[in-house]
Amino acid sequence: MGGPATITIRHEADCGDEVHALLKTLEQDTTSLEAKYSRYRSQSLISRINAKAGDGEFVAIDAETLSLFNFCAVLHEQSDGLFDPTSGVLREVWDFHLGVVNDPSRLRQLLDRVGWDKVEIRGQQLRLTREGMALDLGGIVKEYAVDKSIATIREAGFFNAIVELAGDVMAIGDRGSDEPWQVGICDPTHPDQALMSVELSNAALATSGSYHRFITLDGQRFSHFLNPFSGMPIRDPRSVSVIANNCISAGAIATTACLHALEESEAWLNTAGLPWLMHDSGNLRGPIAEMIK
Amino acid sequence: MRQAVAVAVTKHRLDSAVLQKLPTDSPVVASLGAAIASLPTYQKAFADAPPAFTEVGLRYSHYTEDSLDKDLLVFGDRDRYDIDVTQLWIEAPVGGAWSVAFDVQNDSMSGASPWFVGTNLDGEPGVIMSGASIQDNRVEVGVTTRYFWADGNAGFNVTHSDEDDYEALAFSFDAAWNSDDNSRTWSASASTSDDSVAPVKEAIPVFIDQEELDTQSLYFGVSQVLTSTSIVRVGLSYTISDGYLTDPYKLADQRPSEHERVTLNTGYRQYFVEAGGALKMDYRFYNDDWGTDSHTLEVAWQQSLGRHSLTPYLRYYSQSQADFFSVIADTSTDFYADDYRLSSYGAITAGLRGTVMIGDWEVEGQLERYDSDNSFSLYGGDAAPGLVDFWRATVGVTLRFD
Repeated sequence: MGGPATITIRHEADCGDEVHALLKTLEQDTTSLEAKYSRYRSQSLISRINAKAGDGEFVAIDAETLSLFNFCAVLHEQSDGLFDPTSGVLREVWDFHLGVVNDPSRLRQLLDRVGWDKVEIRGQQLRLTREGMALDLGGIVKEYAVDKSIATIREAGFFNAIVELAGDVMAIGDRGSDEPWQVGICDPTHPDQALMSVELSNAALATSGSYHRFITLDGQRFSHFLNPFSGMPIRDPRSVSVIANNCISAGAIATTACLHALEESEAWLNTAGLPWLMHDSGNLRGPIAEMIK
Repeated sequence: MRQAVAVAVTKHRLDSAVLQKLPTDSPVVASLGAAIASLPTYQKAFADAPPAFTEVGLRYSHYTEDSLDKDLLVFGDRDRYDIDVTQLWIEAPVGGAWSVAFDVQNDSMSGASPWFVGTNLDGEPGVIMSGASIQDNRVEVGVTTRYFWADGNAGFNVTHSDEDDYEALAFSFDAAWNSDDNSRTWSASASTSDDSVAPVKEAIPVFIDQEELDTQSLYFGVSQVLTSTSIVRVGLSYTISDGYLTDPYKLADQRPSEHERVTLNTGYRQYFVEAGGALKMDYRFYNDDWGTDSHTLEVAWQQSLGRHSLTPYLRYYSQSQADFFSVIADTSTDFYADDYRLSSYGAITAGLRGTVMIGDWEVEGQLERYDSDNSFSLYGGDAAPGLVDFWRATVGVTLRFD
């Protein structure tokens, strides 16, 4: 899932075994979500869908997957098409791991393979209509895994816990003696330093940002978020944190904010109406930043 | 950058209480929530829950009726009612599944009201006013307890109202429950009220000492999410009153001792994401066994301005007259009344409501103008001379805290 996972469950002294078993279940659940949705695993559902791209065949999907795709469809619509789970193929040109650009002349050709409108969902079946298309649920599965873990913990009868998966976090209840859970928001330029600390209870905080992965061209920094219409990376990398009732929505709003041009990013966050923090070229902005002034 | 690091030690509580303090889920967040509501992971998270914070509010409203037109007055004072309404409420969560609300309201009214309709020197109908001596104060106290469970909530309310000449004790029970996917909400309520009227014998003669009135009411409604940005609601209510329904301060007023009424309510909300606003349309049809039908249509636009909002609205109302109404009461029949409120008329209300969030405080302001006229009515019927026009201004503050 692209980073370390930390799960803390506050419990009575006599249910240590139960918590141990629960942690095991949570680990298995998260691993199986990764096995199901990772585009890097050749046997994953996503890889099987991608492998059949353009051959006309539908692939059966389960109710969970259908809901996640419905979520993508809503986010695609609400973001005027900026959030697009098919835009990952553009990384064939923009290699953010190596920080290099491979043959930009291929962009036009790659853009033909991008577009949510080229994904056909019929009942509980799905197909990609163009050869070479690929779906990537990386933008939401990690956050969904956080929410799913919290739901499992609640179901097991524990109501004070915090789950963190590669920087996205959800906390329920408190950490004891009515003390709320503390969550640090990273300084994008010094990821090991907390920019500020917030108290969370029954709320999730998700951060999207391009501070780890970006490309510098002609001295200008570009983020790893790609515009699905132009195929170009977004200028002015920034990081955005959002607080919501659940992690998947917080992550969706934060990710989409990073897909907007800087000036439109704030408008999007205000429309969403959730508490947010934007870190851009050393400036902190947004309702969360206002609270510390 | 240094400055940003310096605040790293600052602690800020940003929990579900903060989220609940946001005006409502924005359409973006609501539609994302709806897309995943069917997943088991989110079903408990979307369940009904008691408020996560305590709310305290204070609201003051001033209502002032226009003076009666000189040409319509036969005798008495032209000044009509002024009413000051002060309302204080507090609602707090109790434990994990309950909330308790307590509210107190004080209405202080003064002025004159039509006593009866006669004729002026030209033989035209005109109003004889009660004289400017009416002073009354009403105090209403209500307590509501509410229980929340995964799929809904239920509340029980007791309200006591007391004024010089009227006392009422009412009980109500209501419940709402959501469908599995949270797209539909059913709601129902039942209420009963036990009233007692003992008119004050001062300015004008009254002919009763004390009378009783019982009222029972039932409501059933459903709201349905249509799309990620629209919702529709429909409800039906039935009310029956049994007892003394006559206005003791009117000279020529004799009403049946039973009153049955049925109301159909419908509403539609459409959110416009780009505009950051919502169109609200409500329609109500009313019918009673006194022969009155009425239609109410209201259109409002709620514009979000960040955490603030501005809502202009326009309401049209029209009713037909009661069977026993006449401009000058015909006292030879069993039932009769010259009360303008039972006549055929139409009314237009235009208003503007604004809310401003300042930290944890919400400040609201509202101004409303109401004009009524027989010619505004969809129905035929003679014009009652005492129809009322008024202004109403409201200011309020609400504080929410953990």
